[in-house]
Amino acid sequence: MSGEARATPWPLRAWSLDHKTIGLQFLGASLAMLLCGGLLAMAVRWQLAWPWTGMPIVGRALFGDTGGAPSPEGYTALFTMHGTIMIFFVVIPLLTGAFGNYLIPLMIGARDMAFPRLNAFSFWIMVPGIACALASFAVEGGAASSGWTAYPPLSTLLGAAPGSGAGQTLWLWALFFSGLSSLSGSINYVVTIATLRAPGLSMLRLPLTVWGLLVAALLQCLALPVLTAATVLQYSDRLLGTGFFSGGGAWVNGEWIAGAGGTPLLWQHLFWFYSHPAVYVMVVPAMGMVGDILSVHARKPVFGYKPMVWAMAAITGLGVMVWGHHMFVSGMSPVAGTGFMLSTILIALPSAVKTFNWIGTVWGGRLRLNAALLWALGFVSMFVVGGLSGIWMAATPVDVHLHDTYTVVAHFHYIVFGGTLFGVFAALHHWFPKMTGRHLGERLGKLHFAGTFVLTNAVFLPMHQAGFAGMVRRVADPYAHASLEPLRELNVFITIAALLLFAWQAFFVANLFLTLRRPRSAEANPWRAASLEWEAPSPPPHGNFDRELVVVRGPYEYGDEAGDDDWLPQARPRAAGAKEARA
Amino acid sequence: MTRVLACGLFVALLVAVPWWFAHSASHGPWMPARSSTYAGEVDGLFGAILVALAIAFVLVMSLLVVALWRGAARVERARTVHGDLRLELLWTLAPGAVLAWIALAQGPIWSAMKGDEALRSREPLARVEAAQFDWRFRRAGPDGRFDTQDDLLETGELVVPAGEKVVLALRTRDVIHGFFVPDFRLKQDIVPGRDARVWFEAPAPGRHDLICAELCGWGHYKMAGSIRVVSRAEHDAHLARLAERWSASGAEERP
Amino acid sequence: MDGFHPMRAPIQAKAVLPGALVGLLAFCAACSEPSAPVHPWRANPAALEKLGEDAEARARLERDLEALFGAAGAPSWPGEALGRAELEASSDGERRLARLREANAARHARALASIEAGEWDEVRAREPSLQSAWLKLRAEVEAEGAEGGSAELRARAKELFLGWYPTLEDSARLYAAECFHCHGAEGGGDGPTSHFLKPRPRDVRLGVYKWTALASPARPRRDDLLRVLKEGVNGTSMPSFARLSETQLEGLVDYVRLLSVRGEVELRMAATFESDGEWEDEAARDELDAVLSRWSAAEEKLLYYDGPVPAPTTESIARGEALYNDATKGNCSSCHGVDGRGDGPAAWKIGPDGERAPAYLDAWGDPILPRNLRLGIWRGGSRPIDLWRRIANGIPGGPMPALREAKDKDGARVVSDEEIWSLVHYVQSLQERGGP
Repeated sequence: MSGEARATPWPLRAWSLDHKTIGLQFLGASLAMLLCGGLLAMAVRWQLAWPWTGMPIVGRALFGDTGGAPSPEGYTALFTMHGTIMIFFVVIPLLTGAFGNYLIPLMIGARDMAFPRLNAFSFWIMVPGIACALASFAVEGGAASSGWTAYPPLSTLLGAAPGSGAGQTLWLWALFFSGLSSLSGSINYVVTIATLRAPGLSMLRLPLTVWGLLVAALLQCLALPVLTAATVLQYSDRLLGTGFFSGGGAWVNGEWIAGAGGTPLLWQHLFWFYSHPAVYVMVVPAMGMVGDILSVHARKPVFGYKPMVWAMAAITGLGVMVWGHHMFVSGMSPVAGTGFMLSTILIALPSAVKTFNWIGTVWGGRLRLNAALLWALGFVSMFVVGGLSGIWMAATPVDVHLHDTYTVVAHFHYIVFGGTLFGVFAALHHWFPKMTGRHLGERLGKLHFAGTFVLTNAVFLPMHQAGFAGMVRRVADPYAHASLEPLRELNVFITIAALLLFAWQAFFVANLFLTLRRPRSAEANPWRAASLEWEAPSPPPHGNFDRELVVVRGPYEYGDEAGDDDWLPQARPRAAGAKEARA
Repeated sequence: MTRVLACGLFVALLVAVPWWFAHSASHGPWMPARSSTYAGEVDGLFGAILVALAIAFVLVMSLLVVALWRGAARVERARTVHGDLRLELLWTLAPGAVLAWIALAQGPIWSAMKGDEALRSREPLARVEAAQFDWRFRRAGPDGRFDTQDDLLETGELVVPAGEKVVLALRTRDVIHGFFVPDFRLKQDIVPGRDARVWFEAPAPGRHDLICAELCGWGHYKMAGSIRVVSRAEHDAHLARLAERWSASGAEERP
Repeated sequence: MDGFHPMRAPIQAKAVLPGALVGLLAFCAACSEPSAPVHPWRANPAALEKLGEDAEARARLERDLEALFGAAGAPSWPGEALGRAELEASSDGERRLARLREANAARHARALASIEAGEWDEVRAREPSLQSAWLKLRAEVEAEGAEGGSAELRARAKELFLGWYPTLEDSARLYAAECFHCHGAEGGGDGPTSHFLKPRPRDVRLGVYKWTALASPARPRRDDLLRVLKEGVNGTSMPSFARLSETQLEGLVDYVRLLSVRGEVELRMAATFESDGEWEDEAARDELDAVLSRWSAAEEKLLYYDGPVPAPTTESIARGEALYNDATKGNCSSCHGVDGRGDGPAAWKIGPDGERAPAYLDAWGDPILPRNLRLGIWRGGSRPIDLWRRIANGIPGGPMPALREAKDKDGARVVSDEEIWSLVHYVQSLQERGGP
């Protein structure tokens, strides 16, 4: 925000076309939604530990009639909206919306995005999506309650669940808006990266963050239209009487609904064709950012830059071929199951390569033990746990037992909470000085990290056990099943840890607001980092750079061979006498 | 100080994860009872993968902790290393080999679960009819055909004979349900419009929970049934009792 | 390091304090295990309407009901025997109590094993009354200084678990977890989930029950309620509760009877007030006695077929079809339609605006339509005798008539018991003719 921009009254500034403002808008909106999604998660946990008892805050707000005790259909709405909000309105907008917007032009030395108006559109079209998601709690029947996967016919038969009425319609609109937002953003990113790179910045000189965001954007461009089209089909099945996903006649809620051809499996294919790549959209940008952060704070080049890029490219390519592993128990042909098993096993390889390369990056480095580095290392270790437990799901006979159990819940929360959110916190600590001109507090940041690290494991590690024992997902009262009764104490433990984990985020909120109240003091390049965004002032003005940049080397020139001061910036000619760095 | 604390955290994780998995028996069941013929094989594969995972986890986390411990104290500049092709090949091929083994090892179990000839050659013992939010079981009756007047129906509990292959036909009346018997390591979604078939063989008598594994509406959690495995003779006696109940005139209820 | 300090401004350590406080509060809140809320019994709006705005009458009714039935948190039974005492007195009481012992042995298997092993700390029960009885017994054991318990104390502990029968408080708690969401706290069929369900959950306050084995009108037997709990009502949202133990189900039957009797007394009191404008001193007790006498008469009203059940034949099906369509005999097709799709002309009426609407209301005031007989979904049970009873006795609370009661002008039955079997066979055959 330049001085000129600051002089504009804020309602007009909200309509800014500047990629940084839009990035910060995405950041603010998705952090606010993170709070919503977190509260819903707490409500879910409460019910699993102490079923049908009155819960404070969320319970009072949603189930006032019964003293805060949830109803069964209310519980199904809770986890449905937790998943929906966290995926479509927190993680994806945080990574691609907030960091994608803020970092891509800065890191490629561009003055802005290729299509600034499309960029503003991509944020503002998300707002009605958020409104639909939140408003659905207030409509008759409550919010959507067929899970974030919205499998028909549960989601298409209006009588199949209370939330399959107006709530599901709003859910489809929310997804539709979110899809438009992501799609327009992704097209913008791809075009921007393809066309607006600074002179000398070849593709193989791009920082890993940009690569991660590019891969995510490509995946979105490939796969998202499928989901968006599928939501339109589901909408038409529900309200226009078509039968794309109908599976024959159904006796539902005292009424016979005639079938109309089609099959529910079609939705599963279309849905997972997007939603599995979405998992990579939710983690690959974080992988890229973590690679950069590790390198900067270890004062050492990224280990194996090209293999890292190749790994990301492999993830993109394979990412659209593995969706069937969500359907191993759906009745899909066992032969197709074998094919998807093979592609799933293959996609584990690039992830393994990336992990070893992160370790290679910090190995022998001169580490700055600050919050950003700790969060990034936390990301690596959580990703290792979550990635390894994924191998079980790739082994089809084991997956048959673990499918739809809490082991799967533990697995993807290790990736999305332990992985992606840790990566986001790392990125916030790392780029906050650039975004606001202020450093997030280090001590609070470390305290926040330590507690979150411990509690994340306390919450999600025991969940594996619950799943092994056969505790399935999405049950309001697991103890209705005699064999799950012994899990009660385990669930109480998980819930207490989850409540503490939620409360612990108060340190982050305090850190955020305390920092924002302090004066701007950050230098342009406080971390002595080499990539282009640090050439701009902190925070960068409208137009980003005050001079033309010419890129002469790769983004990771650190260490003993990199100039006199252990690093060489990408865009400046190297000091005389030093050895030429590898491009 | 920060260095010690930070390393402590990661060491704690390095210790806690294997410890938790190793001591899980005291925190709750590890895997449920193995009550079908293929449960042992599934658990064997699970255990083998667990060992591989444990080795990988300890290796990676140890490297990370060492790098952290040494790096945090390092004063001299890091060496400018951009990569090492041999190392890259090593850590691509080594996990690749393990993954290839997993891909091969699961094949026989998968084809046994999904392709057993019993699925084609045997008549289903019963048809499972799932509906919001009940498990009902239909027996074909003397004529051997479903949906005829001599069908026998039960709710909640299915009685099956021990020691022989049991084939079940699965059908749903409304939305998708999931037929999940943890003790058998058996799970199959029941998709509307598609009758699914599963098989299992339970060697010993016992009672096993039947759980709905696919979200089927507000009462999903209530969808609890059971499979009771009994000897062949007891099973036949049970069927006879059921048939008798079916031809009752109501007079037997007189006090 | 290279001498740079990005963190120039000092960190405000006092910010730690609020965060820590929030964490501590959350911890304390989380550590106290919340107990299930008791949902209070609300007055029946239908009764309140009859009382009008008379605040005194409303207070008196509330007082009288509480004197008889207690409150939601502490229910009491004003009749003679309920629960175990009633079972003991019944003709097959011994057999039923033995079954309850078996059920208890299965449900409390872990506790019983711990007692056997002398691991007193591991012995636990989810049911409040059983848990407190166990703690009391344990205190006695420890007062006598018997570590691990003598054989005699061990036997007493086992007997406690094996012979357990739920108190009304236990059942009220179970009801709150399993039934409340649909049937509401006072059994009005108006819990939070009920608004969505079709058909609406049963409002037991009318004392009208559809799925019994009895000649109507009658209140159900224990067995009728127990059967519905075990098998559910196929085709409705009432699921099977066979996953609960038999003992728990018997307890729920007790509690449902309490709610039902209470609801009936409430409505009858209100009706008396509406017609008389006042109550006698003993009005509540009198109404209660009248209601209870109908419940106790249930056993004598069992409806059964005298003789062996005939098997379906081509002839009996053809005979059934003729009866089904004969307006002077079964006259089933007038409502259930010629094809059995539940679309007969008599089931519908044309409203003043010319649109089609269900012709009948049920006892609860909801529109009701005839069953589609081709789906094979039978709410009151799928056995031939269950269908026979439905046809012979009709279905209380709805327009389905009792064919046994249909008489011609000479007082002779229009349809014989054997002919009802033909109807059963025809109706069963409809399902085989293919889908809806």
